[in-house]
Amino acid sequence: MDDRELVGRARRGDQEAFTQLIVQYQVPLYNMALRMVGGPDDAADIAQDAFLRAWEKIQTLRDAPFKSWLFQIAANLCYDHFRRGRRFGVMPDDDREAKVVPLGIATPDPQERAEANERHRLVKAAIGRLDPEMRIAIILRDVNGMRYDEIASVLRVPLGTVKSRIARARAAVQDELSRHPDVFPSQRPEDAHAD
Amino acid sequence: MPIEPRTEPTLEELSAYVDAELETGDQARVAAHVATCPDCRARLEGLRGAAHAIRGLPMETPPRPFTVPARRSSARPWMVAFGWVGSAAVAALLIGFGLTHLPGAASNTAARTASFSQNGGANYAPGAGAAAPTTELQAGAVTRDKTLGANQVTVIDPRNSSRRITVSTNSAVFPIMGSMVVSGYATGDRAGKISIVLRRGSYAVDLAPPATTQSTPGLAFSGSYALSRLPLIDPRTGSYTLTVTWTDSAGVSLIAELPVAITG
Repeated sequence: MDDRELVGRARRGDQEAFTQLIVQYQVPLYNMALRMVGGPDDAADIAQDAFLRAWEKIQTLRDAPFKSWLFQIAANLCYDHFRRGRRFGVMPDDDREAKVVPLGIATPDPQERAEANERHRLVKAAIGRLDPEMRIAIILRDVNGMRYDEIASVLRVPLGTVKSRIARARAAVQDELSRHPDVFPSQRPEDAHAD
Repeated sequence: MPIEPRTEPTLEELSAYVDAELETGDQARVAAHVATCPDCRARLEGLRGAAHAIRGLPMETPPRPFTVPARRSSARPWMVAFGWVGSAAVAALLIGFGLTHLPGAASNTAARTASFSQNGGANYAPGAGAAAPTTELQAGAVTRDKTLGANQVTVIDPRNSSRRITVSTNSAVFPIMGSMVVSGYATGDRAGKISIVLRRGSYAVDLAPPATTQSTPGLAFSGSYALSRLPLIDPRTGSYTLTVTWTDSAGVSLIAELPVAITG
């Protein structure tokens, strides 16, 4: 069943339909919030609040895609988070990432795991240094895999603004990561190709 | 637009080129340029490297399920909020899962998952000795039953509602010298493996595999565990999460979690 059908049922008060929408979007929405605000508890609060508001306001959703609308709600909550003076938080350096096992790949040895954790730490720190407008653009693209037109819809900005924010964000992240050539060796030019 | 020489592509164009978000003509123009311009190729690789570094971040599992009120309220928002706060008592639908995946766009290439390692019953250190599953874990709708003192949860495969796992314990609170009975059944596939982990924070203990029985609807399982014999760390009392993973014959897993508490 696609989003449109589920939204139609949810608008008629069908909680199970809305539950299916939660199941579908909880991971990407939570991870968007997590990369935006940095802390897992704050991110979970934002995702929960976004689902709750979406459930309450589902009657107002007409033809717009549910996904864009939901992420728009969450993006606004992230902005509110910073407006309230909350800062970007960094996840406690526990073993959370050690639980993430890429599928079909042998469990990395401790050295590899430590290197991966260090890469992730530096990337998260680089994202955290971006201003929120650039940060959310690059997160929606590179964490959530949204198309530029979807991002424009979520952020309610022109396509050109999306391109610009993503480009500047990537340049800033690249600049940060280039300070750690031991962790992020530059790619060879001959590897160049379009994704 | 002609695939012509050469004005240098802008930063925005190079970045959009990485995402294949340029018009076809512009995509070809940038490709032609970077093929002959080492400086732009280096800039492009830098942007591509930044994008790949971010895409390499693991998708993480939310620390708790997300809920909405059990009954849709037509009343004012504050009433709904109150209803939500109280939803733990009111019950309703809870959502949980053990799924992580890479960005959702088709352009992204692989799925990955959060998984607990299973090492045959010894102490569990996250990530150590893990056998990586072969297919992605499934998100599942979860219903939790707190009525009549039951501690029970059901996780449903959203792709196939006949495939589900129900797990219950004989109590939600156990004395440290007591025994915890974990039982349940998995339907939709009579084969597969059940593993149980008792976790607090990032420390967990693999419990011995429960006894299983194949039946017509699926796989029944039950295990009894003397808590005093488990290698828990001090303080042994406190709140834990019981995680039961059913990996079916296709290597797809459903994960059910139940809160349990151990008291002195």
